[in-house]
Amino acid sequence: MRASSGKANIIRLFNVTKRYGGKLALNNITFDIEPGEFIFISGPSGAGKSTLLRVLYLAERVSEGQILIDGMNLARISSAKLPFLRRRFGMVFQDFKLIPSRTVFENVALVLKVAGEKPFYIKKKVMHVLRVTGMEKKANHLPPTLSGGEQQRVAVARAVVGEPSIILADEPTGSLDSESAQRVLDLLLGYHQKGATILMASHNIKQMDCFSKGRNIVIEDGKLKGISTILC
Amino acid sequence: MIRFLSKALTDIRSNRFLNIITIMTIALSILLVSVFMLFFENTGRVLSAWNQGGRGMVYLSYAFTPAMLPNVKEQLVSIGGIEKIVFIPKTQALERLKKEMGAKTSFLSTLQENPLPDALEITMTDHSNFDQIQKRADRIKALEMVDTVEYGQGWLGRFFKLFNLFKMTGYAMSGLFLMIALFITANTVRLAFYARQTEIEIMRLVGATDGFIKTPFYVEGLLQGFLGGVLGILILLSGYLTLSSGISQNLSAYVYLDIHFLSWQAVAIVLFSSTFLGWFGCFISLKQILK
Repeated sequence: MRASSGKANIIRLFNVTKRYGGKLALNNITFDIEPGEFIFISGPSGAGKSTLLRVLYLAERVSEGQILIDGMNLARISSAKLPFLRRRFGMVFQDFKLIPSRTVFENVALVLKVAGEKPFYIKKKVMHVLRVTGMEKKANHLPPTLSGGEQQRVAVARAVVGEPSIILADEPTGSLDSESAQRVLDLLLGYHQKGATILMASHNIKQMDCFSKGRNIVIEDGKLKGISTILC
Repeated sequence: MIRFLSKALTDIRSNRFLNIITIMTIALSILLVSVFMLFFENTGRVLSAWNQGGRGMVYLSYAFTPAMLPNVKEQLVSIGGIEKIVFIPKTQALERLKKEMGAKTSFLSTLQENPLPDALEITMTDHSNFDQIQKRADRIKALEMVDTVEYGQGWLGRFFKLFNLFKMTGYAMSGLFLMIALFITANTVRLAFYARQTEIEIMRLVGATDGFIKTPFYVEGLLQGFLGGVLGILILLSGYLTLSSGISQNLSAYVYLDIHFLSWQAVAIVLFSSTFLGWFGCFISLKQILK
């Protein structure tokens, strides 16, 4: 575990274990993440990378151990308070998870609507992030009419529109061609440079780039194999 | 709220067939219940009129003299439930009969003496329950100076019994149809929910609360219930307008008939009930799904 730099850690995992029946998906994982870090979670397929992200946004509850997000113990969060935890995250998935019957604008705006924001504010914010992600002209398109790269850019827009402090990306470039993948990575890097903490799970270690505050966490068979600083 | 209403209307439009089936089911159930209500309201009013507003005639025995009147009145009042007592002496009764029979009274001039008894016309305070009227009449008949009591006990009594039987059957059938409508509404909501499961999963991921997810469904249920109620009432109204004038015209020569549509209060109760039905079906479905 890295020595504290004095800043309060935004994410802390203590002996986190996740079992599915008799199988261990995560086995005694412990590490801390400082605000503004870019964490690359690497490992082979089935290592537990996605499971690690899922326990962070409480799609799954851990079998043992504790997770603290900004000092908040996830074990104490009731189902009624869960939506409010999830609003602290922006999430990007390999399969995009866009609502096919809603337009690009509506998909991105959903984050702000559930938070109860006013329509004028929603329009302003959504159009801004669509501009940044280069999807402004496709605001009224439906996701199935877009390419994979475009859909993932919309997903990134949705992940960042609420200005979350933490972005979780689970294989965000897994189903994209290299050019689209680079565009998505560039967007994530852009938000990282603005101060967002990003955790990105990927089995493609070539995607690691030179970050000012980047670390690589290696997971294998559910165990933490190593943590290293990413060197340019 | 406007946002949720707009979402509910969009969802209804996107699942048009399913929603039309649900609205029609609610409409038909409401129609059946309203038909019963209409029947019972009008029959109740007609029966009350036939029952002469709770009036009856107490025919006194031939041993009665006018001097006994205060005593008889006191005995009647002590039975209870009698609002008004009017003494009709036999002479007045004969004059009344002559007036009612009109030209056919020539035979009356051949009578040596007045055959009609003295009578008391009574009005009861509560005449909605025929069994109660019957019991009261039996107590009056048991009085010393009373010969007979007439209150329509013959055919009216039998009609009341039949009417009550219809009423119970109506309640049972209405209840059954409302239950059917409730289950169909609940099932429609379940199907709509599962059809939107991907959307709902994504909404949960971005931090939507249960209230945010459920409210459009509730609004949809309310709309389905309300529209079903309105449609049911409109079908009933068109049926009433088509049939009522014909019925009144054909039967008014034989019996007193004054058929009205449901009162505004009854229509409001029906619409409220159908709207509640739509919402409740939604509630029980979502409660189970989101457990």
